[in-house]
Amino acid sequence: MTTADAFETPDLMLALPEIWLLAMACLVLVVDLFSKDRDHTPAFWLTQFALVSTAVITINLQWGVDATTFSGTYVADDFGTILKVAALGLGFLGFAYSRDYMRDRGLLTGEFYMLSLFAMLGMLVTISAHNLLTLYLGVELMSLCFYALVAMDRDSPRASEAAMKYFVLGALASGMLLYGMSMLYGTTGSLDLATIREAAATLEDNRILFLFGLVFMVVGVAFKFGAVPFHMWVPDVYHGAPTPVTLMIATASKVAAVGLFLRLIGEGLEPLIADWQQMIVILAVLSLLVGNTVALVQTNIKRMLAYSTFNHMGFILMGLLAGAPGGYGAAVFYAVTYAMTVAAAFGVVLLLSQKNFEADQLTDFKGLNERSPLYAFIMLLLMISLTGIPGTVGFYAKWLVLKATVEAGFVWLAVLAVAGAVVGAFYYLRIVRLMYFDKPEGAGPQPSGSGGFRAVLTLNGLAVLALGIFPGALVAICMAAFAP
Amino acid sequence: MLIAVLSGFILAAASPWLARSVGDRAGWLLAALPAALFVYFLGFLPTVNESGAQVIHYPWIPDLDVNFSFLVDGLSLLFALLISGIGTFIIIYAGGYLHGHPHLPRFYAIMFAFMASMLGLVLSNNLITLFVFWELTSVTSYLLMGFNHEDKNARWCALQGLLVTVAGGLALMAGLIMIGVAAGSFELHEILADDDVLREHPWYVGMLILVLIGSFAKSAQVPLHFWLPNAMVAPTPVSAFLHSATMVKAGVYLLARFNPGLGGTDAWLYTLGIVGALTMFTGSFMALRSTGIKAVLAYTTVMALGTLVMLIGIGTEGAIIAAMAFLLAHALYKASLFMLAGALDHETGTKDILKMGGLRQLMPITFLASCVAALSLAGLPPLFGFIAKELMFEATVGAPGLAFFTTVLAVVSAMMVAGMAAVFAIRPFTGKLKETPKKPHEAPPSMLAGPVVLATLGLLFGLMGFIPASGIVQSAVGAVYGSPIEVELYLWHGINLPLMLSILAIAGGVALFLRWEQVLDFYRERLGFIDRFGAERGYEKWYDGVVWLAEWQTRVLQSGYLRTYLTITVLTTVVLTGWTFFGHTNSAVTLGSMDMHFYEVAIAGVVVVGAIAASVTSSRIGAAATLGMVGFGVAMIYVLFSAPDLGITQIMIETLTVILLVLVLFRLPGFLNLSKPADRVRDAAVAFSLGTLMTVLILAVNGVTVTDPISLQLAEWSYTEAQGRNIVNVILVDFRALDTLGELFVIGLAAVGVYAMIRLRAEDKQR
Repeated sequence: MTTADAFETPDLMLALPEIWLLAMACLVLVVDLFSKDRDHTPAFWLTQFALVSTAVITINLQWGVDATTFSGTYVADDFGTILKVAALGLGFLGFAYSRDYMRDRGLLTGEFYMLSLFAMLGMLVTISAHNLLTLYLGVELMSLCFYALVAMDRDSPRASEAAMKYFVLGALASGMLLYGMSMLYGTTGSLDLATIREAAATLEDNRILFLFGLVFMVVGVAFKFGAVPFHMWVPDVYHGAPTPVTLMIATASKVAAVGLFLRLIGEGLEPLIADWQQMIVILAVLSLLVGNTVALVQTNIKRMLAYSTFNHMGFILMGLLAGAPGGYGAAVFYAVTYAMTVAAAFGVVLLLSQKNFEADQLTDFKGLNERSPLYAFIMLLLMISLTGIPGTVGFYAKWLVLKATVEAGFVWLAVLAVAGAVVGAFYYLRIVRLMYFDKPEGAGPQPSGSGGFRAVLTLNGLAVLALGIFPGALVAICMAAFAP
Repeated sequence: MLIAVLSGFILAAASPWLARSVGDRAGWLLAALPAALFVYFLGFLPTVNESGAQVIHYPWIPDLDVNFSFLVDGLSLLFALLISGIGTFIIIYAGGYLHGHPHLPRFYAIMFAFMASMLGLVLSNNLITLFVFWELTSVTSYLLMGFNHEDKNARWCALQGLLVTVAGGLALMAGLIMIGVAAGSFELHEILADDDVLREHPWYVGMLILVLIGSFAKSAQVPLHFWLPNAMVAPTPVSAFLHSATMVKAGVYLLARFNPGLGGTDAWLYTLGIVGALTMFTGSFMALRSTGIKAVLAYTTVMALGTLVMLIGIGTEGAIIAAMAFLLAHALYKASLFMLAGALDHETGTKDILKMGGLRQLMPITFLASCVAALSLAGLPPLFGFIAKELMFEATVGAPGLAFFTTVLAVVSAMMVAGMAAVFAIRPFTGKLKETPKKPHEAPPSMLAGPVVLATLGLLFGLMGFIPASGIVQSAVGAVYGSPIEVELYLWHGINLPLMLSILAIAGGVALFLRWEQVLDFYRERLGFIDRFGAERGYEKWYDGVVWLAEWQTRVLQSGYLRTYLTITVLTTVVLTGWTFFGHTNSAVTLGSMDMHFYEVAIAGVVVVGAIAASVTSSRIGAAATLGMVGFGVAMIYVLFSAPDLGITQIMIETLTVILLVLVLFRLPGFLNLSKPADRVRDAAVAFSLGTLMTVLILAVNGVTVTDPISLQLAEWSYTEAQGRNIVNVILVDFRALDTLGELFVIGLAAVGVYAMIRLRAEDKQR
């Protein structure tokens, strides 16, 4: 290490997406401060513009590129681009769906946009991090914003309780992650992921310490995934948080978690695959087994989706633990399409919610087909996709992951995953039955929401179908990103 | 070909509109598509009979090995012809049966979608598209079964059918993936071309089990047979279609298709042979005790499926010939019987055989067609059913290893089925005319066309066995067996064992028919317990068990207590670390040196005491104060290790947070101790385990020196780079300028917090 002569001017253009998003977030803050609009309309449109423009910049500057900047702490590459664009797109959906809901509850404030945008920034930084500290910075920025967002509805005891649990457990997990990082630094003397990777490949003396660091980092990452047994926060937070915040945590943050895994463990610790693979197998198995059955008896759809998350996280972990380009590509495909599907499912929940009424009970979906055939059909598509039935994109996601798992030699794991998916079929298809075959109790909630919200939701739902019929392009992109 | 398969989906989208605009006669018009498809598939027959299988390929998603490729051989053509041919009559029939039903257009739509999925399933050459169509048939048949969705029972039964078949389907998916990966190709003709690649693969047992689960669930084999009779809640045209040639035969199709690749082993022989034979027996036994006209037919379907599975399992030349002949015969008579049952039900308004009688004069054509079809079901000459049954007996007698078992069950089953066939054909039509809910008269032509034509075909094929034999059965047998076989079908084989068995079965059947009432009474009195222990009970118990497991898991894992969550998180971490530690043989950890000065020990003691006190105190202020002790102790350690800047920052932060905490704590309600002493001991143990782990790790890390400590470099650079002699100064102002700024910022922020708190309290007091 030298000081003066080591300083190079970073290539700011390469990191423009993050810089631009930060600038836009600050702009939103200022504009919202001086805006007299009670619905925060300028903030809404600026936020959406920020997300879309950042996505465009990301694609233009980072797709097809493989370069680092800021002294190797920041990296731009193909799979990062996919994950970033996905996260930004999910954020876009989240904001589009949540506006009416938040306004009805008096929660539509500048802070909502600010915190969410900073959370998005945290995700982007995580995905592009090429250094332990950058990675940690991104993760913490994201997490801290989410803690605050969960507690946004300050009058709701449930939300406060959820935020408290989320914060305490999250802080513990962050501590573990940081502790693991410090052990890596202690044994390799570097924070740079490329250097760590080299060191890991030739590790002899302090191997066991390095592995301890690995354990702690896996724990931290597993927490962000919500993988069993670090999952306990998920149902409480999903249930307690305002639904739009749940949507963000359930979708965009999972995509970021995949990014975290791929950077830290997939890329940085790739030479130690034999060691972390076992741990991820345990996490994946537990995720596939636990929680899935619990989803069966839930009467609240937010909790049901929370429990069912574990199963899907199990699938993503299966893709990741295959440790091969095919597996990584499958995991990214799974994460992106799963998040998209769940976003639309929460969108339907938000659509049915009214002022002073939360449509989060399963019974609220009874007879939806008679009230709104379109949204009943969209919900049908979503549930079929989450089950993994062909015709929707969920099938190809499961298919790719299972194929990668079998190819990696974990046949029993693939069989177990299928068994888990079978249980999943029960509760997803139950919603279908409620919507199409049951009579509503009383009048049942009508779809509300503005035209824009409905249009985006409809497109989101149909995309699940369209990708189910023509998945080729997206699969090719995901696979190309990891092609050697 | 692609258009032929997908045309059903296109028509499905258009049919509601068509049905509305054409009106009553829409059934006849819509039937034109399956009829055209039938002719189209017929056109393939000469080519396939002469030059064998054809593969037609359209790329879809090549990246995923997913292609629309179609395998046209005898087996798939046999199915395709049955599907499109019977489908034609079903559509016509539905127009009459569901005449005036408000959802008839929707019915057409789902029916066409189902038919197209079924065609896709049997014609697919690609494992993935095969699976896609497989699941589509599950979903569309669910919609068909739940068609009368006002009926709660219909919904329940439909869901049951869906769950069983979708669950089986997912197992099949895993099996197909394994087959694809093992064979290195997802195209059926390539997989099956290489004879032993699957049989000799280490995953053979795994893929066999998974494929069998999928097929057995779909084809209602014991113990998964219970959903099929419940599926009778569907409108009769649906039952007729599902049971004769389509849905439930899909599993049989799959087994037949994979016979060249997976079959021929002992595992295959015994699993399929035994399960099939048991299913055959169960189905015919259940049929015997049923009085609902559709239930009788449903259970005979179970019997037929069992027979087919058994024959494929036996796998000898004769067995495969028998299987294909039986398949064809069954499709013909079962479709017509179902349609006739529907006609009876439609005209009389009841489904109970015991409540019908004397309909011979009123419904002569129905009577006649019923007789012909039932004779085929019973297996009497000169019908095609007789040929099929003779072949079946021949196959069971020659079954390797299972001859006695399968033959006995086959004969007993055949007796019961023959009896029920007689009940079906004779009971409703003879005797005195009984009072029925509706005044009966002959069914409309749309409802008679199908049964009459199909029953006649059954007779024709029986008399002239060479038509089906050379037309389609021979190619189908070749495709299933894996190599071409000469097939001849004729009625008279001479006096031999199968003929004797046939005569025995028919005699038994007549006896059962004559004593049917006694049999029913006997069953009700003595054998009622079977219903309590049947497979359906098992399904319900399993369902309840899963619910119980779910509730138990929620109680244990998702208690809602943060401390439980923390305990699990901490323990998992400790276990994972321990596992890593003990999992490595060379896990020697060098602990760092332990030489300490006494004042260091003293400070450490203060910190430990503070920490313990903080966790046991029952006063909030006390906890804040003791936590402060810990913080100041840490600050002192920083000072001792020559980091005065850190120490100062730490002290300031500690002071401010203690003040903040105290200010907040005043506003909180009294402290409640909610945990039991035992819980506290347990929690202490958990905390202790994590503490021990951390201590060991820190000591271990301390023992490692990778690179030179940074202090040496800093000392060197402070003069050369920063021109400063006071190293601490240089570090704070130059090297870590941003850190220092950050520290200042944090302290400032904490101070602002304190100020805000104090002001808040002051304002409160003023009020």
